[in-house]
Amino acid sequence: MSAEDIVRAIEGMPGQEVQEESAAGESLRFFIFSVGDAYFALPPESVREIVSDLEIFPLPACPPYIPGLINCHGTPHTVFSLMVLFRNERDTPAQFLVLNLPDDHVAFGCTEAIEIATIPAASISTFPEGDAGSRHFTGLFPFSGQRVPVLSVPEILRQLELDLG
Amino acid sequence: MGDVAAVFRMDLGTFDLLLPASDFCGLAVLPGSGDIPARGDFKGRKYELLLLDPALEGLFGLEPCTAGSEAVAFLAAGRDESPRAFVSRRAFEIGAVPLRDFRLPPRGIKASLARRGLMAFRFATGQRFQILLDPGALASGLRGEKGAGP
Repeated sequence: MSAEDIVRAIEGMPGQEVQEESAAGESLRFFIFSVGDAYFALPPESVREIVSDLEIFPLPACPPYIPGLINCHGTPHTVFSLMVLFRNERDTPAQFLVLNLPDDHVAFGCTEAIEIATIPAASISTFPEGDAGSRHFTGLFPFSGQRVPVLSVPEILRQLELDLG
Repeated sequence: MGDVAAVFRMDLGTFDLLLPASDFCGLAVLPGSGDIPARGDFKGRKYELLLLDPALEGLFGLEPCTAGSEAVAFLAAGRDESPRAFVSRRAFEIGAVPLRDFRLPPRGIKASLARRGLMAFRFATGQRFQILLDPGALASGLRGEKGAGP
């Protein structure tokens, strides 16, 4: 039995669905992590791996939010600094979230992986369509006293594409 | 198994630049330590001389190369009507690198880096970062650089 089979079997057991549903009904799971003092969220399935203690190799001719590459298991991964992208502040990431992408190798620098949380769908707010300031996010929810933005990986990758021309 | 690429390796401080030796048909030391002329005659052919050092300094934010050190022309092996050579005053050594060690850039930055001549990477022993440069791709950027014109 594979890990996926086991998970499917566990999910099918009585009682499990209670944890996944809020009083209002539907809920969603998010991987929450910190970058400096800010929290961000991603769908858990979009993170393939968390790695630490890797050197960043600087690259020329990239936007400031691309500090360089990491060598993750022998494969170069483009590193994004969310701190630079969203706050224009330099940071030294302690860990890297390796994204689960079908056709690219990308990692987000992060300070700490916080937890995978189940968030009631009703508490997730979205942004008005066409709001340029929120184009990198798909939603926002309260968690641990913060408003946590949910990152849109496609939009962040598109930003790099636009900036590289 | 065991395929290797001959390369010229330049130590640029925190990383190495690798030039594929097969892209060149020879090397020539330029006489004198003054300005580099726009053209040079080597092996009976007239070569356009493209200055590699200012391009590398601009691209990687390097300190300017020590003036006065000997300049070497890397004669491009292409069958161009107008042969060209890449001139550098930076020290280099000849080596061989297993092909299997090279890694292509991640997709999102690959095209952008390729336009600047950065084709592949290698994480050498001790995590030394090495960048494989395609001098042909760099050439279009080099043409018209200050000091390389007629």
